[in-house]
Amino acid sequence: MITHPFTYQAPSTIDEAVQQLDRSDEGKVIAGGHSLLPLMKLGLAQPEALIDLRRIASLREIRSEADGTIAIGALATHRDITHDQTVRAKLVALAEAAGAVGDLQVRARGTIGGSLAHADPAADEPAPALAYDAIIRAVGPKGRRDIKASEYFKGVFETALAANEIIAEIRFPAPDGRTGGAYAKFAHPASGFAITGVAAVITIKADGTVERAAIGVTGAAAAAYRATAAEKALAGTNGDAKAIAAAAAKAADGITALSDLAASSDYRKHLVTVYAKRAIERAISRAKA
Amino acid sequence: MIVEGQLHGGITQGIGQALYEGAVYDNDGQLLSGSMMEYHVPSAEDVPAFDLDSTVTLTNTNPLGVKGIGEAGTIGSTPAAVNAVIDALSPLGIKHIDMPLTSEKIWRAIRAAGEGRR
Repeated sequence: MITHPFTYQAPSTIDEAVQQLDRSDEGKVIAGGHSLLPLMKLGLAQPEALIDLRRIASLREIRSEADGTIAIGALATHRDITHDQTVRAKLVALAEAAGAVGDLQVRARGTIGGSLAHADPAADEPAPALAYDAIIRAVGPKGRRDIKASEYFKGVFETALAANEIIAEIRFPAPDGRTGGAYAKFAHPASGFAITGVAAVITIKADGTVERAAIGVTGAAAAAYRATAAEKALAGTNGDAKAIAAAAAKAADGITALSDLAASSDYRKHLVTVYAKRAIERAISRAKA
Repeated sequence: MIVEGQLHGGITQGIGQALYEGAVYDNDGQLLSGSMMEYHVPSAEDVPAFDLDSTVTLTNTNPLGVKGIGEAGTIGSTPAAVNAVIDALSPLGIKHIDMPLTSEKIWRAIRAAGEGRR
């Protein structure tokens, strides 16, 4: 449980943090530390340098911009997000996913930026980031770079983020008026990680038909993904129980499902369809409310 | 108070054996369920509220007539939990599932029963 030796810096601006990270050899950024520190204690991560973002207060803000975009600072904790009134009103699937992370202590320390940068395949927040078409805004030595969530998650602990880039904020475009969201999760009984987590964001027309469906799935495959076959099946339907069941049945189409002690790959695929159904049902009823 | 607390703990421990706790090894003898991230020990949030009752029969083996309580709660709770699951699945003809009765094992038993009837 004793970590490999490392240097520690806590810069007060993100530009400074980027410089320190870029100059470091095997440096790692630390935010809430709820993924990195356990790995370091187990010897699975051995960074030579830790760059702590905790002094960069502006990175913890959650703000609404003029065009309706909700910009969530990378250091916003899962708990901040769960309790934020704007997030609860506009991005309810994200509020629910953040509220489903780990336990109270983890939610109070762990951050959305940390979760997305670490990219544990069983993390919760990648699912709503995909379903809401979030933009991951990273800062590197060459400046700012915006990465679409759909192009960000690459594999197990693998993302489009470069080794010398730091996530500054996650930008969520304002959903259209008649939009409802929901996150449904099957948690590992011991670890609390998502064996399956599905975020559904559904927009309906005035006549009740489904205009657009976006479904993000985490926990099931090496990287979180958009269930495009299910989205296509749901769009244009009247969103009744039959349409939901038919769409949800396609939520695991084409994936290579993870398999471990907690769930084999065919059980995981089954769970994806069950939890997709639950998330879609709740999202549609919220869109209609 | 102590007796009630011991019973709560014992009942919960028994439910853990019935539904969650299994030491799983791979073919090379490596323990796979080797951490608390994999091996679930249930806590208060996993179990229902308990109604407790007791019968009081003094023992003759010591001057105070007292008995141990310890893990007594485990004795009934493991079969009670397993029997409840098997009872719920009995319309499908399912009579037995090996402990722990994880959600995947129950799903597989239901699927196998469905296939057998087709």
